[in-house]
Amino acid sequence: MDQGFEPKIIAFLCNWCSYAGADLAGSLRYSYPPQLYPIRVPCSGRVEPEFVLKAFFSGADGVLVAGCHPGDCHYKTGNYYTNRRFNLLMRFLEILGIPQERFRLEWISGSEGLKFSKVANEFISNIKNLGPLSLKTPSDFDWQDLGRVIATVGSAGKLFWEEPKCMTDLIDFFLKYVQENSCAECIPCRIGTKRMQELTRKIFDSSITEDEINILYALSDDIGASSKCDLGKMAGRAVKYALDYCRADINEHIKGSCAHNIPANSGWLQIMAK
Amino acid sequence: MGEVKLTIDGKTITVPQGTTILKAAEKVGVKIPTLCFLEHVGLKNIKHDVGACRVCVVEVEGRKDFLSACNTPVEEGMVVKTHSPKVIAARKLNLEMMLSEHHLDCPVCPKNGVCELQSLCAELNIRTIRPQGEKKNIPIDDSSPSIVRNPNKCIICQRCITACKVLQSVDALELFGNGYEAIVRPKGGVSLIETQCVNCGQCALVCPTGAIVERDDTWKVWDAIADPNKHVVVQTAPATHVTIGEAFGLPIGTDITGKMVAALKRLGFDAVFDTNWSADLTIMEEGYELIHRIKNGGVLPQFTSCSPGWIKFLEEFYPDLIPHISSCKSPQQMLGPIAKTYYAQKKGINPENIFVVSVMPCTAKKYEAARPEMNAASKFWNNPNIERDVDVVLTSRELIRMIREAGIDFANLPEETYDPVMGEGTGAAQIFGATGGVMEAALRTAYEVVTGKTLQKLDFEDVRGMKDIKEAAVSMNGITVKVLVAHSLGAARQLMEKVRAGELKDYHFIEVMTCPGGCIGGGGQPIPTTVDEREQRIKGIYERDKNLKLRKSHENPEIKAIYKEFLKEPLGHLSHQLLHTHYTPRGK
Repeated sequence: MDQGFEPKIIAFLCNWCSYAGADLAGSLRYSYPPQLYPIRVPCSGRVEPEFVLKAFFSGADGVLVAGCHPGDCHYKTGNYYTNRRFNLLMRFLEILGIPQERFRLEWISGSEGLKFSKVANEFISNIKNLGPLSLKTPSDFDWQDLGRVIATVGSAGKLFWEEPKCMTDLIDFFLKYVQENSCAECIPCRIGTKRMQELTRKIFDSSITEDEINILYALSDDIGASSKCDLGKMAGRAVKYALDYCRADINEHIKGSCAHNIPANSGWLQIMAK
Repeated sequence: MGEVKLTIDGKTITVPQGTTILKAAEKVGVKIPTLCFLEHVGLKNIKHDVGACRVCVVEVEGRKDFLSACNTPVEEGMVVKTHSPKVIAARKLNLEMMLSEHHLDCPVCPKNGVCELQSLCAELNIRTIRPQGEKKNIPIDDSSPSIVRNPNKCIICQRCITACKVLQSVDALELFGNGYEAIVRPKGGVSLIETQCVNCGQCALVCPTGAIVERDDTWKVWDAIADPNKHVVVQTAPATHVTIGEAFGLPIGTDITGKMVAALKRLGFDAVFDTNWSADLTIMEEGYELIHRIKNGGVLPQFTSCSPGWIKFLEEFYPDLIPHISSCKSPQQMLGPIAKTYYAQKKGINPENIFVVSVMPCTAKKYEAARPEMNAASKFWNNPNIERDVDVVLTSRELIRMIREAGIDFANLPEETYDPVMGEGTGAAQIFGATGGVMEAALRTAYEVVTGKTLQKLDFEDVRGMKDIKEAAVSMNGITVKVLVAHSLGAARQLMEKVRAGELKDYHFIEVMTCPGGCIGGGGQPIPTTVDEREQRIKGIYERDKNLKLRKSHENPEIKAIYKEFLKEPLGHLSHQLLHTHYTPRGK
């Protein structure tokens, strides 16, 4: 461990709870290290995956997102989406060579000054132990695009799952969402996403052939570039990212199991139902 | 407006701001393929560029996404690649997606050979359809006597919606549903006959596939011709005189009257008549009606009644203005009952055995012929065995198909002439086929009837041309007759709003043609019918008018003869029985 290492931590704090929690920590003289740079956001749901990626790609060693406790969101459902996007982003951090321990989501209310200071101290000491982040991702990697795809897939519709899922499941869910919401004006979105959905279903029943995976790939590439609006484009790109980076998830499903590498969001169903 | 400099396929070009990539590419000689794009929907000012098909996508340097060339304006410094391997691949795959839900029954499709989807596939060298999956199986809607819709062939380009909503302001079609389930359907999901559709067929003209086509009635005509008991007569609308030839490689607007008559005789019709004859009859009746209204304080302005799409439009949307419309039937519906009365008597044929076919540029004529009130001959003879005044209406396209089916070498046919009794037509009748023509024909006759003087200059240039609303004024015996001409129902709607508001009280006569350009741009005309074709055909119409010896309806000897021998006088008792009709307020 590098004793002289001073990590840079970016903390996105929700205005209503966690920022107030940080404020309270200060008032109550609970200390936390100065390497943590808080950024106040209106809601943890405002933190787009792109922000997190930008922080990492700009030199942050760790990123903390903190919001209201489930059910307490000032905007009712903001932190539900925070959670969904966080789970999905986690799946891709690993792929980008960013250890998952460097990214953390916490629920901290305005009265939890002590919790804030504990989380901050603990996170910083973890990052200190991990040392500086050295990214091996190619410099021309379009993390902004990936961020947008994660944001879109993580924000589409309502999705609850009690056990961990994988990227194949999410693609399937997202394609269904796109089909239900496509305005049907352009061909790639109207028909292309339907064809991708049909091919994805074939992954689930293990009947997909290598040729069909190639067609799925060609479709995703084309739909991602030539759809009229972002709904179709995101569908194409999401499938393309899955095929490019989550091939293992797909292969697991072809074998009849699941990689279970995207955590469940258990408990949210009851909260959202309220 | 400023200028924009950009590079397309390595060629630098400067174009006015607001130019689309598609148009800019044309200037450097690059043709970007398109499918859903339609530069002019009937009229020059109506454009369809929703960017639905994604066939015109191009690559722009520095952008991850492709842009659709048809509706993206150029930007300063843009570097566009229109045919890079990436773009070609995307274009092909987009087309393959479209084909993956298409029922590929091209050999039996009514649009076989004129289908834009088909020719684009040939152009882009499509040889396989990689994506495969579910295809829709929606029942074909053949509820309308004019139009048949097969939603399974629809590629949702939405051209028909633009034609119906923007050009015609009828708005009978909608895009309904999301994603793959989406369809273009009659508004509210009812069948077409239950909508306010006026049967104009402009949707069929712009449909790139076989999703909207005219109803094919050719088999009924073949059956009638084959029946030895039937005396099958046919009439040809003014607009068909200059359009049928296009399908057989003749230049657009060529006068093919003689060849068409020859072809009809070879098809086996017992007598070939000209709707131009009954157009002259219409002018007599309608002209006298106008004079009568002006002299006796009748409802003015009087509206023309030749265009059946327009009639239904008025009944649907402006039923309160029905008193304005001339009670004259259209030329088609005038010839029908005369064939089954006057002609039958003259020839000694049992009217029950006379079968009247008409060749029309129009899909709405099919609806018109099917109207319950169009059975004047039956009433005249008090014989329920006589059915319709006009038994079958064929569109230009259907006649073209019959000529092909019969193996007739149309382009090389000798010219033949119409049969007597109803075969003579004047130039005034000929111009019925173009917007402003009915008005001009009426003015030629009305002027001479009212003033008793010979009209020196027959050409009323003010009412001609593709401008959507035209105006003219003619002085007759101290009265200045003010007239308006509109074509396309969108333009008609503008006028009707003004009539309703009482703003056009000092006008006397309004001509409305449902289709842009008049009948030469009708929904049953050869495909393609674009603004260019329309303009060429209009030229052909006026050319034929100029070449005819008789150019005024009241000078037609066969018209003089029927008044002398049968009808006695315009607006007389028999005229009212056979040549005039009434209208039905519809609307919702």
